[in-house]
Amino acid sequence: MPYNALKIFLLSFFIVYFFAGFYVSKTIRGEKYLIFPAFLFTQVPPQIGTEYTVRILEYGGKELDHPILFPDAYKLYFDNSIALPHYNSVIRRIGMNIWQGQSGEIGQYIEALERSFLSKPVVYEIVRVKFDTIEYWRTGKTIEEKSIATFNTEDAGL
Amino acid sequence: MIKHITQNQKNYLTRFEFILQGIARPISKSFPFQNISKIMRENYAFEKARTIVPFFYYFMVIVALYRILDLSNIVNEGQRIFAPRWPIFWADYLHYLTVIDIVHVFFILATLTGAFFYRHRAGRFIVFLGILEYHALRNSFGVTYHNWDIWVWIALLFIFLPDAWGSAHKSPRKRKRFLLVFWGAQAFVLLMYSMSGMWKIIAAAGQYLNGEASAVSFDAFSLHISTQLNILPETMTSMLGPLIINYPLLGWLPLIAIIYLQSFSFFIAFRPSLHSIWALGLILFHVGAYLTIGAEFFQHIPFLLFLFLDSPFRDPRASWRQTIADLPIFGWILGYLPKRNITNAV
Repeated sequence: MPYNALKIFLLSFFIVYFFAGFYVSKTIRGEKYLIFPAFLFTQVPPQIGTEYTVRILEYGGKELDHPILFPDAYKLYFDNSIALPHYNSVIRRIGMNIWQGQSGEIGQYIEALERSFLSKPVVYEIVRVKFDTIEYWRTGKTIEEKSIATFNTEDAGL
Repeated sequence: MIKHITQNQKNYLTRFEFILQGIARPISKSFPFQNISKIMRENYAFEKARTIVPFFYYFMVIVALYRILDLSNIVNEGQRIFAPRWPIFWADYLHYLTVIDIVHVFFILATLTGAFFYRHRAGRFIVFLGILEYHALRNSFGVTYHNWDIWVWIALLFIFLPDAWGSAHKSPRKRKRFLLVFWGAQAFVLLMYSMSGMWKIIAAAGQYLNGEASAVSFDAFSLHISTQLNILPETMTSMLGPLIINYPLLGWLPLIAIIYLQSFSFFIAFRPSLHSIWALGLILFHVGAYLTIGAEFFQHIPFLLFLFLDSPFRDPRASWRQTIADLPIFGWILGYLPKRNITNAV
């Protein structure tokens, strides 16, 4: 390739990648395979945060004495090869959709989440948690925990 | 049918072409920087770049071999969710375990090919394919690992290197094109950081105007860290995170420095005197990010080392004054300060 053509190619490549990154940041997932918009740790989280998590109510057909949150259940009941942070975004998506009244769009996310459980039936609920970010890190205490939906993996045939 | 162009249309085209050339020519002349033609004539720049490139291919062999250690994780992950990305479209026709074997074996063979035949475009292309296939497999479990993207893109860019080893290296045109592609790889790495920094600045402005905690807030870094540590499993420890959460002011200046470092990264591509020091800053950023929020992007560090720590474009005779003058913002401010007049009368 001639030198000037190479220059134009490189310049065009940078411009296209930059705008492609900008464009994909506006999509639902905020990313596209091989195009990274670099939207990482961009916004400072608020002091008072809300998150969504999963609380296990029944496991293997037995009701738990103390319902357990998924991050803690993850160590006790589920395969350690599951990468927990990968499922946080899925759980967050489920919770946000339910909270915003868009339950019809959560099917694929529920399926992705339930595949992570072992073959035993699990009854779980999606919980909306309100907490002071730093206080929660220090003491584990939340301001409010509200169940917004309950699911049963047995219904999914797992 | 012959299309007749009117005189007015001819005049319009001429003016448009004139304007286009007025924009394109200065960019073309100064791109990537004004004295690159001079640098390209220097032996040291080309020899250095030519020495650095093979190390990328040697290093890929180690990377490919170490990927075998992750095999069991990939096997387990894929049995739950496996949605093949487009580069491994053929995976739909084979058993999942066969796909894993093929991709890993091909990755190793491709990188070995590159280690021996990096001097040839075909060899570099095979390495790119190997990386692309592995990258696609690794990103086919419902989650995208963007920390590996840079391997694919740099391998792609290096395909465009002219085969400037052996007797071909005496051609000035090949040397010039070689250095341009090498610079292109540098610039792309820095572009990714600038995109990240740009978003941070935009978000900071938006959050500040909304009266929310923003990147300029004193507790911004501690909020980032505590939020991240709340998400991560307890098995992951943060060496510096608790310190910054308890003493938020310790994190304020580093966060501002990170935004400065990232935002101006692409600008540094045009300032060779800053290549090595900027790379050091970005490496420290990655180390710090892992020690605080557990964000692991160490896959970028080899490129910062290979491409920048001993940049071929850095003039070995450049003074520290030139380096400071090239600094974004600080160098610009210093440039506007009145210079001291030293007269021989004293």
